[in-house]
Amino acid sequence: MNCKIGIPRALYYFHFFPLWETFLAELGFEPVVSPPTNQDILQRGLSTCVESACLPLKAFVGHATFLVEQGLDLLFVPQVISVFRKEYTCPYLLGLPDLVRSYLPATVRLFSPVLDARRGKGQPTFSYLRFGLQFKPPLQAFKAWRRAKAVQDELEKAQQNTNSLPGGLNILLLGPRYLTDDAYLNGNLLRKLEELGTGVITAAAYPDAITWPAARFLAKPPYWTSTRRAVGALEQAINRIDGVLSIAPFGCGAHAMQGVLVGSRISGSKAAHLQIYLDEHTSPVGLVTRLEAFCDLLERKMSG
Amino acid sequence: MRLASKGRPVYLGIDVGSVSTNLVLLDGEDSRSSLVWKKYLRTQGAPLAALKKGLSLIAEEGMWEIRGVGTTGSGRELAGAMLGADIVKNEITAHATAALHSDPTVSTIVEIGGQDSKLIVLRDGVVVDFAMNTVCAAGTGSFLDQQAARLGVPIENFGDLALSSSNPVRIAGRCTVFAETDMIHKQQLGMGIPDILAGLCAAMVRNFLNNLASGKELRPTVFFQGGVAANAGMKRAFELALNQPVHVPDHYDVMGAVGAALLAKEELEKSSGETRFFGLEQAVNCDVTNRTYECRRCPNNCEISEIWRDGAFLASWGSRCGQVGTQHGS
Amino acid sequence: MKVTFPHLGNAYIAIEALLRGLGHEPIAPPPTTRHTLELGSLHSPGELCLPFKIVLGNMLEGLELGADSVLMIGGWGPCRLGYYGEIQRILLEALGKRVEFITLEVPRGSYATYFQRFRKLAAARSAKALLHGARLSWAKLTALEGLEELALKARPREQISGAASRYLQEQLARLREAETVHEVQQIVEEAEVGFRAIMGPERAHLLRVGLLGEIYTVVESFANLGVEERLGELGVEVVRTISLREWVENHIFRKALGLYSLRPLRRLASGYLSGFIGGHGLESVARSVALARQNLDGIVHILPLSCMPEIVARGILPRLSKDEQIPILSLVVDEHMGESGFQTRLEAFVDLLQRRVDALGKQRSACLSGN
Repeated sequence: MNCKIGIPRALYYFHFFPLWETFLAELGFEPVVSPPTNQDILQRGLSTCVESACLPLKAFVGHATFLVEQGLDLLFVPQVISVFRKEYTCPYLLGLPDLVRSYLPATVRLFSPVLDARRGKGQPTFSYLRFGLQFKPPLQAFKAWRRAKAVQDELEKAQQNTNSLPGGLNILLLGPRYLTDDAYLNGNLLRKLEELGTGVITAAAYPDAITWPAARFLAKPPYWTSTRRAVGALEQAINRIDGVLSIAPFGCGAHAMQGVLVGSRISGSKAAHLQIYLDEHTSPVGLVTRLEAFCDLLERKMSG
Repeated sequence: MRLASKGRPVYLGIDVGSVSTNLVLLDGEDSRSSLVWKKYLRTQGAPLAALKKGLSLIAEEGMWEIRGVGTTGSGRELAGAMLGADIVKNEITAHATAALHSDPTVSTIVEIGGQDSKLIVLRDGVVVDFAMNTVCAAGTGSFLDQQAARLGVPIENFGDLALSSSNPVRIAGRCTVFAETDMIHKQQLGMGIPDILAGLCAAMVRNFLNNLASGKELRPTVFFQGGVAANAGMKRAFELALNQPVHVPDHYDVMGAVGAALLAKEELEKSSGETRFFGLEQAVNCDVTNRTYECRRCPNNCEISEIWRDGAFLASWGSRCGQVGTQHGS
Repeated sequence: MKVTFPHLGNAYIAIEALLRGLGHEPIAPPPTTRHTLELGSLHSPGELCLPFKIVLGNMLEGLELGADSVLMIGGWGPCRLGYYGEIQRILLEALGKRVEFITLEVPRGSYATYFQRFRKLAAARSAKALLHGARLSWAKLTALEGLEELALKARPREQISGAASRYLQEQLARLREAETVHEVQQIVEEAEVGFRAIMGPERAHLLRVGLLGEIYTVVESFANLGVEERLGELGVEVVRTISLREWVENHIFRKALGLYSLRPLRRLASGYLSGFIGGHGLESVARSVALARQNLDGIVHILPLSCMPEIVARGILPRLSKDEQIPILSLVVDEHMGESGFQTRLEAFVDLLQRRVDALGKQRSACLSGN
C-alpha cells in the first residue's frame, strides 16, 4: 500500500506537522502537504468558505480544495477538540471536519481522528493508535506512533528556547501558531520585525508545564489553550520584554477576550501592547506602518 | 399619444432610496408593460420633497392616467402612505420582478445601488436565494463616486478609463478607509489612473463575490443593475470574475421602480379592483410632513416615524410594543 | 444584597422571583434600549460581540440603580459566553466599580463547592422560603414562555394590528406582580382565553417559520430587532425551538448531575455535524433537520457577528437546506445592523416562501445568507 494522503498546510498542521507527516508515512501512506499559503490558495477559500469565518479557517478550506484539485481523494483532517487537560481549542476546530466536508465533492474521503485531551494525554494517543490499527497490525502501529511522537517531541523541545532574546528591543509575539508561522497570512510579519531589529519571543517558546501554572494568577483560568498559553507566557516574560504584539484573525472570539486579559496584566508595567487583526483585506502597507510606529514608540519609551 | 379626456393609462412605480428617488410609468394597455417615462432624482435626505417633485413632473405633462401605484426602497412605507399605494414591496422582490420581466431566463441578479448591494439567485423564474450588504459602504455607488472625485475623474468617464487599463493594480480593502489608504499608496508609487480605477473595480467585485456569493452557484443569465451598472469598468470586472457575459438591462438604473409598477399591476389584476391612489392633484398639492421622535411611552424608547397630510395623521412606524397606533392609512 | 442581572428576553420576571426567594433585593436593569448598547459599547473592546456589549450595558445600568452585586451565568467552553462574566468583572473593576459577581455555572471541583456557593447565595433563609421562591420562579419562567408562545400563534391571526403584542405586554406586567404559584396559573389560563379573542378566523396556508440560532440573540428581542414581532406582522407563525426553561434544565441541573446527553441532537444532525461544537451550534443544525421534517415552510437562523459555533452551523446549513428541502435565512446581527435592511430581508424571505408555496409541486430549497 502506498497511497497518497493530503494534509492541508493550515491550522493545527503548524502544531503537529512532524507527528502527522511521520505517522502517516510510517503507516505506509505518502503524505502530500499543500504548498505554503499563496494568493491562489487563499482565494479558493475566500470564495468557498462561509463568509464570516476567520482568515485561517478560510485558508484551510483553500488548502483542502487545492489538494483535491491536485487529484487527491484522501485528506487527513483531524478533529482537534482539545490539546490540553480541561481546555478547548476553538469551536471552528471542533466543527472543522464537518465544515470542510460540506465544501468538498462526496468522493473525497476525510480521515478525521478525534483528538480530545480534555481528560488527559491518553485520549489523543489512543485515538492515533486506533487510527493506525486500521492500516497496520498493533505492534507496527504502535512503533509508528512512537517514532512520530519522538520527532514531534524533538521539535517542540527545540522551539522551547527562551534565552534567545538579544539586547535592544524585545517583543513578545502572541498569536495562534497558524498565524505566526504562516508568512503569507501574517504579511511576513516576523521578517519585518527582524528587519526592524527587534528580538522576538513567541508563546511557543514556553512549554505547557510553565504556562499552565503561570496562568493561575487569573481568577478564572481561560479554557482555550491558545489564550492560556499566551497569558502564561506573558506572565513569565513580562519583566524581560518591552512590548507585546498580539496578532489574531479578525473576528476571533477567543482573542477578543485575550486582549482584555493582556491589557489588564500589563497595565502599570512598562510594556506597551499592539493588537493586529488579520483578514483578507489587511493591507501589507498598513501593517508595516503600524509595526514601525509601534517600534518607534517602544524605543522612545526605552530612552525616555 | 394623448387621449382627449382621460389620458393614457399607466402604472406608476416608485423606488425611494436614501441616495436616489426613481419614478417610472409603465404602459397600462400594452401587454408588455413597456416603460414610457422615467425620472431619476436625488433624494438628498428629503424623500418627501423628492417624491413631490417627481409627481409634479408627471402632473405637468398632463397626459397620464394612473391606474395603480407600487412603492419600494427604504422609504417604501412613507411613499406608500403618502400616495395610497396599491402595493408596498421590498427591493429584493421588486428587482427580481423587473429583471424577470425583461428576461424570463435570468438566474442571477447583481444589483449595486448608491447605498447597498444585493445578489439575487433565481431558478426557473422563482427567487430561491438572496444576500444583501447594507453595513459596508465600500461596495456601493457612493464609494465609487467619492473615489472618482478624489482622483479627479468625472464619474461618467470612470468606466471608459478603467477599460483602457492594461495592467490593473491589486487593491486591498474591505472598508472605505482600507481601500482608500491602499489606493493612495498605489498612487504614490506612480501607478496610472486607469490602472488604479480598474484595480478598484476588480477589488469591489472581489469583495462583492466573497461577501455575498460564497458557496452560491451563479448561473447564466446574469443581470447587472442599479446605478453602478452604468460603469463599464465594473461590468467588465464582473465578466472577468464570473467568466461569463453579464447583461445590463435597458433601464438598469430604475429597475426597482419598474418592479414596483409591475407588482402594482399584478396586484390590481388579481383583485380586479380600483387603485387606492389619492390622485396626482392631491399628492402634489397636499401638505405632507413627517417627523421622527423617540417615543417615551415605555422604556423601549423606539424611534417613531409619523406622517401627516394636511394636518391629519396618516401613519406611523417603528413602534416595537404596539402602544403607538400603527397604520391608519391602510 | 442588592442584585442586578442582565436581561434575557422576559426572564427578568423569573429572576426577580428567584432572587427574592433567596432573600436578596432584585434590581432589574431598565429595559434594554439603544442607550444600553451605547453604554456597553463604550466600555467594551470593539471586537467583542453584540450580546457582550448589551449585557455589560445592562450591568452598568443596574449598578446605576444602586445594585452592589451582579448575577451572571458562566461556563467552561468552548463558547465565549462562559468567560464573559470574568471579562465583564475585569472591565467593571477597571472602571472603579466595586461589584460582587455571583456566577451561575457548573463549578470546577467537587459538589461541595457547588453547595458552598449555594449557601452563600441563599442568605440565611428558611427552607420553606427558599422552596417557595424556587417554585414561584420556576412557575413564572414556565408561564412567561407559555404567554410568549401564545403570542406567536396570535400575531399572524390577529384582527387588529399590534393587538397580540400589546396584550402580551399587559399579561407579562401582571405576571411580574404575581406572588403565588396559583396566581401565575390563573394568569396563564385567562391569557389563553384572551389571546383567542384577539385572533380572527383561521386562514388557509398560514406560513410557518422556525426560529433558531444562538440563544441570546434568539431570546433577547432588542438584539434580534424584534424578529418574532416582525415575522408575526408579516403574517407568519413563528415556531420557537429554543426555550430558556429547557436551557436551565439541561445546563444548570442535568449537567451538574451528569445526566445531560447530546445523543438525540447528534442523531438528528448525523451526516451534517458529528458532535458538540460549543454554544448552540449543534442545536441549530439538529433542529433545522427536525423542523424540515415537521414540514415547516422555512427557517430563520439568527447569530451575532463573530459567533464561532453558529458560523460553523451557518457553513453547514446550505447543504442541509438543499438536502432537506427547506429554505433557510441566516441573519447576522451586530450594532451596525440597520432596521430597514433587516426588514427588507425578512420581507423578501417571506415573499420567497409564499411564492414557493404557490408554486406547489415544484420542490425547491434555498439557504440564504442574509448579510
